[in-house]
Amino acid sequence: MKTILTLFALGFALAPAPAIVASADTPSAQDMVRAADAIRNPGQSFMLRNKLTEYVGGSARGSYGIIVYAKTDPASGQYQNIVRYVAPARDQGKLLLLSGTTLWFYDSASKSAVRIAPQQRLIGQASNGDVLTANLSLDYKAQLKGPATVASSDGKDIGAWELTLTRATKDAVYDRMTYWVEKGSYRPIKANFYSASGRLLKIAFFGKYVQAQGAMRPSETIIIDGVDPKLVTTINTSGIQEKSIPSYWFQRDYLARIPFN
Amino acid sequence: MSPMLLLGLVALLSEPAGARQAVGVEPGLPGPSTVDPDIALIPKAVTADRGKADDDLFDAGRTLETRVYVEDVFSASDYRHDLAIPLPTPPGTNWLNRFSLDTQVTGAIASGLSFTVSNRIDLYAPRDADGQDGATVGNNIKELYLTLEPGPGLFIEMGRINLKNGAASTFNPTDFFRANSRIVQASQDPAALRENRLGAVMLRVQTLWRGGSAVLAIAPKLASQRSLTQDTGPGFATRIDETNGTTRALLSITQEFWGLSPKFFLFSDDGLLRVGASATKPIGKSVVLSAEWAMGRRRDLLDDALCFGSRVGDLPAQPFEQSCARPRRLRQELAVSLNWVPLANLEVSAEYDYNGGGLSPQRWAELTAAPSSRLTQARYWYLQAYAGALQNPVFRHGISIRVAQSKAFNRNLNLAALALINASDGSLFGQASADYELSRNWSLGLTANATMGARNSVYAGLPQKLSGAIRLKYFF
Repeated sequence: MKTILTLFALGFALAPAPAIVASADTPSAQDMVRAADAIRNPGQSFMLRNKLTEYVGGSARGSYGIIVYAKTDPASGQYQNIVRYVAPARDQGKLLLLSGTTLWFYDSASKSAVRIAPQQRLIGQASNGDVLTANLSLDYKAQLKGPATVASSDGKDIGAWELTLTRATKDAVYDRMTYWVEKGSYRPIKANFYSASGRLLKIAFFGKYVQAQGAMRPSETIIIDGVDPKLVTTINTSGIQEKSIPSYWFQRDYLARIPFN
Repeated sequence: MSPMLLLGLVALLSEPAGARQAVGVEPGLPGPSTVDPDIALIPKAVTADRGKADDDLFDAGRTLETRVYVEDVFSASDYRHDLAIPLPTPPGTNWLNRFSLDTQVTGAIASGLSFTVSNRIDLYAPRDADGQDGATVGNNIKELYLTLEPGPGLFIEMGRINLKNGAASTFNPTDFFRANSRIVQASQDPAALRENRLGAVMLRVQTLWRGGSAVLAIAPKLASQRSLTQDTGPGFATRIDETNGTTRALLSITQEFWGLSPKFFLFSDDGLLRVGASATKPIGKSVVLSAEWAMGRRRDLLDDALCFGSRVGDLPAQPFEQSCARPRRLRQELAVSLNWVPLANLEVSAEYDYNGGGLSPQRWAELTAAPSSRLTQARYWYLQAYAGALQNPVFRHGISIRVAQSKAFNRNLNLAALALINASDGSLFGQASADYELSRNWSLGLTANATMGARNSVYAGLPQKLSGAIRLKYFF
């Protein structure tokens, strides 16, 4: 509540003359990431559809359809996720569960769930972390680097805050991120993801903002491989809706029962 | 604190109108950003595809979920002609073609009531899987059951259900319903073995709570146990006598703690009790350790096989019935596996398996001591058939190594190699496979198998020396 009040006051202070550089009145970097989380994630318990398209050397190679169910874990505040594959036909009925530190893969053809390592990639070129919902503010410590101009996914220059995010929990997917959020709105614009050695792993652009669940939210994420930039994956999000999801869904033994419609 | 409220307040009170306009609500080709060279990495095709209508990947209103494919598998084998223990009858044809239609359907009947059907129909050429004259068409009802959900987190199911458990990859001591469930397939890869098997007719009740669940499954005896030498070729038999030849019951309880995802089991097979447990644990971002264990009183595999064979009439009562008099002892089964993902698309698994009922090297030597004797022949080949039906290793100690790569060479190519090694005699079964996704619906697979080892070893004692299969699959 204290933070809300602080931001409320800051809002009034900033409204007449938006800050050009970080000042004492600028919200903290962590609050900016929190605000950006609230834009990417539409609520406490929801479902959405993602269409993933892979591009290799500039040409579309294939596409995948998944449905994501997400709900915050009251203990950690972090999201638990269930991903259901709906296309192509060969992948239909496969499911992925992330709850806390556990990641399970279930295949309805073999009727069995296997625990997988967080690093294992299951959907084309996209990593599991790319399709799972997460509150970055819980997993990373943010530092404000300063104002910057960055390109949006449609090529326009955006005035943004540049933030450096470093891993704060063992659950964080990446060791370090550079994160650009739009000044004023705190919309995520772009993120660079790095390994512990400082190697650029991928670049993500967040764009095509649309009205969904009471706010403007990104409906497109473009992910460029940091090692081989010819590998690009787009994630188009639609069908965002609140959904009441029982807590017992988020365990291995329920995966066989996730509804298909 | 509600992030939504925070967002609303911040956006409402502090956002300059110009900044909001700057974000691309309307898609278009990448514009003239002069400050961010990364924008040039976005392919033109991405922006061009934005205007296209989306494929109908999501059919939200459907009442059925179907997974249907046809596959044609042509396989050929090279047989050993100098087996240490000769086959009672020579192997059949050295080539076989199987065309299959595999259907898996789940549908809602009413609120809280649904059905599941999983079926495979096979057409063999030139003859059946064993190379014997006979029917060329066969059907396998893998699953057929109703699910009732009388309340939140409570499910009651009845029918033929494929109930699987197990945390390891190759040998699953806690997969108590694995016996007599196999159907013909082209691959020995554990993933394929799990997919192609028959369920047992049972009543299953499951209740779930936050982080845990309990399952009670009761599979009654519905027919006399089927003999292993009876014709198992294609046909339309339900094979209930294989899956429900004894009364079995399983109670399993799961409760998440310490990130171990443990599972505990109590199993009864015609009154013979077994207990088991499994757990898994990730180590860092790229390793998963798994272990599963089961224990119960039983004879060793050879005595068990000979006793079974004499009771169902596959083997003469004399001298084999005396195996039934051998005492049952407490025997353990264990599988410990390590799964390492060095790269996001590369998986390396190593597993150690212990089957307490398996044969020791001394017992194996006794078994193969008189290779030309008819008695030895009968014992040896019946043991192999019995171990195959139970999906149990013949020896006590085994090691398996599997390497799999998805999206190899940035293509829609999945590669896998598997080695099953008998730790006692060093013989091995090796398999290499490649699957190429030709399109969204078509895939082409190649599999090559080999068995190697000393002449009287477990794997080199099998008739197939080399075999290969080519598989074309179409998903509807």
